[in-house]
Amino acid sequence: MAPLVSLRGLRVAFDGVPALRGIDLDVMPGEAVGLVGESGCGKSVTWLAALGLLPRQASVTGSVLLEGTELLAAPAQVLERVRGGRIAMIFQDPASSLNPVHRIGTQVAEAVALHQGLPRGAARAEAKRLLDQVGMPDAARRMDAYPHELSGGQNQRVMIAMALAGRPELLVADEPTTALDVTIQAQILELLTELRRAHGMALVLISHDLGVVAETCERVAVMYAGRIVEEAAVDALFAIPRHPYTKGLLGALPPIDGPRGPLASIPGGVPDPSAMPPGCAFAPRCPAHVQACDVAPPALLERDGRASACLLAA
Amino acid sequence: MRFFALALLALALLGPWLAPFDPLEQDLSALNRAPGGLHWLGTDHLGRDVLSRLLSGAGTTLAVATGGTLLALGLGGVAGLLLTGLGRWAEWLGFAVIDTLRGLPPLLLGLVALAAMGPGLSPLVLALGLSFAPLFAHVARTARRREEAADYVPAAIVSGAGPWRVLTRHILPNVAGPVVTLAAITLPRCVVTESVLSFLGLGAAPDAPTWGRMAADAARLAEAAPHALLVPVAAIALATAACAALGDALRRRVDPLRA
Repeated sequence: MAPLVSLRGLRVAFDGVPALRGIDLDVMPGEAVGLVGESGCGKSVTWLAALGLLPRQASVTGSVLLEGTELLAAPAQVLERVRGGRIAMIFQDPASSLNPVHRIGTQVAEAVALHQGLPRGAARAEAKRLLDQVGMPDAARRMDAYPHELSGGQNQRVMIAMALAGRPELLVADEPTTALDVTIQAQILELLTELRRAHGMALVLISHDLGVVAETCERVAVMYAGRIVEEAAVDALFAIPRHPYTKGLLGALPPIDGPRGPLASIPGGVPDPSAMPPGCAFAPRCPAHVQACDVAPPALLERDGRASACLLAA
Repeated sequence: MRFFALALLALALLGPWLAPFDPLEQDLSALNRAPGGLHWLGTDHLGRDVLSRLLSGAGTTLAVATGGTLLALGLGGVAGLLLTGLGRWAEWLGFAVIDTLRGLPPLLLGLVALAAMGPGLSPLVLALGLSFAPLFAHVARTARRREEAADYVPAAIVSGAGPWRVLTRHILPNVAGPVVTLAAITLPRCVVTESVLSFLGLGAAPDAPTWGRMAADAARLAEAAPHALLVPVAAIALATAACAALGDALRRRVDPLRA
């Protein structure tokens, strides 16, 4: 099966400082992929770059193919049809992602009108149907509410309804539950999974929360300092992590039982993006560090259906 | 206060018919009369009835001030919003022109407009519009910058909205709040600036009553006839308060969140 979206050698630099250092990632139709890593590792930048949403100062190179169509350097009209129509995106803070001066019904209906070309009345009816579908309680009445009158979870449901308006083939959810409390978080993740199944939509879930990704995704890519360091099926990755960074992340999860103890952590910090080590970016913090690690950044090599960018794992 | 604004509008429209005397008629036997008797608000230094001048001047005063404010809002607001999207150099150049305009005194602009267009109310409106437009341009630019940094802008772009749609549907309604507020502040300032320009003979015929000119004329004789100064000043103050209240009500209409 051909991938729906295929990123090849995607690089982004802000004022000469690299933020992404060569991303290769495929998303299959209908698949749920998790993208994990700590803040600043480039998870969000990857997809903002793919959709042409970065400011002009950012230099973006490489290739982003949507079923064979190159999106980088695509004309504005092509991008406007892709955005929302084929690839939709929702963000971390739903309250500020909605326009504060428009009623939510109007905002959803606008997205509907934009992508389905429906007249006003029909667009509103479709907007109400979408709000019902994303589980907005009392959708007919809430259509007239402003974003500040709704809770965070309800606003995120509105964002999801807007994202569904264009019937996208891929939904990129950038930390969709980070701003929400834990019970609402579970509801939203469940909703995303349900909608994905119902629409056959692919999902890219960007998160720093391994638990969220394990619950929702089929495949995970772990990012560190602007590169993918390990990629595998969820079960395989959590059972036997191969890259020392992934091992460190999983090791840092506190055990659910047993006596209280200090939380495990990975010693050291993320390298300064303007002064990357010549070899593997994780080498300075790596417990399994050998001299060969400092020669050149290791490539992401595939072995038995999974890949990792580590000399020792390959 | 909204009721007061409506009453003010009614007075401005009906003023000339409500005036008990001819606002231009001089009564040299009754100069600087204090309020009371036949002249409710007294007479000025030429024996003209202050109430009649106030009433018949209301229309001109408010029309000129409103025209100047709307012109400033239109010119400045549009320039500020559009220049901000044109890229660094166009924006820099555009705002260099706007700031040069801002540096010129309204008086000079008024004289240039008068020289170009001849006497009348239109050069007055043009001068007011041009001198207040830079403020609107700056407020619109700042507001647009601030709104562009809000998350709903990338969210709108990612849902497929083009740049024009983002500007008109999403940013404009959010920029309207501060711009409307500025308009409410600018309107009374136009009344005052108009008095300065009128004092120098710009605008309508020299003896035609406007509030600003009434105040400017009476200021020189404030000791002999303080009421002739206080009446137009009080009228300007009340009109200012009414404008502010009206502006606030308008802003609340366009801005559900910060109501």
